[in-house]
Amino acid sequence: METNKNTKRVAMLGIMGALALALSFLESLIPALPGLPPGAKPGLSNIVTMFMASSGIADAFFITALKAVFAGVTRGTTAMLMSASGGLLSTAAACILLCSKKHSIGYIGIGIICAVCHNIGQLISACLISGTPSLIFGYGPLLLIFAVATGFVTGAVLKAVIPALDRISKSL
Amino acid sequence: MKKLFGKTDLLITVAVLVLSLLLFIPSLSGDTGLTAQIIVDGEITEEIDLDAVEKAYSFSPKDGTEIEVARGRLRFSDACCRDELCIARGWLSAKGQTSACLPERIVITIKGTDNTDMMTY
Repeated sequence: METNKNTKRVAMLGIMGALALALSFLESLIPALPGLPPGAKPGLSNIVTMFMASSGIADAFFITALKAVFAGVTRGTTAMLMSASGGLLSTAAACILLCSKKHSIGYIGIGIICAVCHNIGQLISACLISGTPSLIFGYGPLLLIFAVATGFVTGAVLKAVIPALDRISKSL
Repeated sequence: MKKLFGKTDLLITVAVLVLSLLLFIPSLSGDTGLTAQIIVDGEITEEIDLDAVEKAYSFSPKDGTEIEVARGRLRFSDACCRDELCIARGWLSAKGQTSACLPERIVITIKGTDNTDMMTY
């Protein structure tokens, strides 16, 4: 029985890890849009980490670490640091919000908070890497507005796909 | 089962948008002149009065990175990293606009002239 449970968990991590990496890669194909900060992405792979956060904290952080390593291998050290700093903060927020039932925040609110946390994490590490705290004013406003938009989408998509992802999880 | 969107979610949306506006306010200060700052390793190495640029020119604050300066605007024109996000940022031509090259730790930003006392680093 115990082995069966572990096998299921490994299979689930494999499927969700692949899904997160595929979405990350898909996003990297989006060209820089005028008016938006270059490098800003919709955060589709965060849907996967948010889903994992609703079932297990350790698994969610595993996916986050996997994404950071993938960014490091494909896009370099800076990209890895940005992915890790944003991912850790955002996954922590997702774990707290999705595991707790003591609040009235819906999926879109959770999506927005996670996106804001992701961008704040990245902005802080950008300030530290460049040694230029004023980046908060240069990039902050745009990143926050963008986080509202992307958080709205990821939160809504999360609610829509949870039944499908739950079915995968149960069928294993 | 949690709901999709409720009052709390609306409150969060509004709060984030207000915070974004508040962070934008410092960029508006200073008069109408445009001064570019080149910040390398966290130190301001150069301040350029963009209104006084007669002829466009380029310079390299570090090997492999090139900044192009023209009247009223500037941009990263060459970078040595893989994703070249600083170049993708394009021309900066308004107060508060910022472009950063993280691998080389170079930031270019535009401020209003006579604005130097607004921010301390």
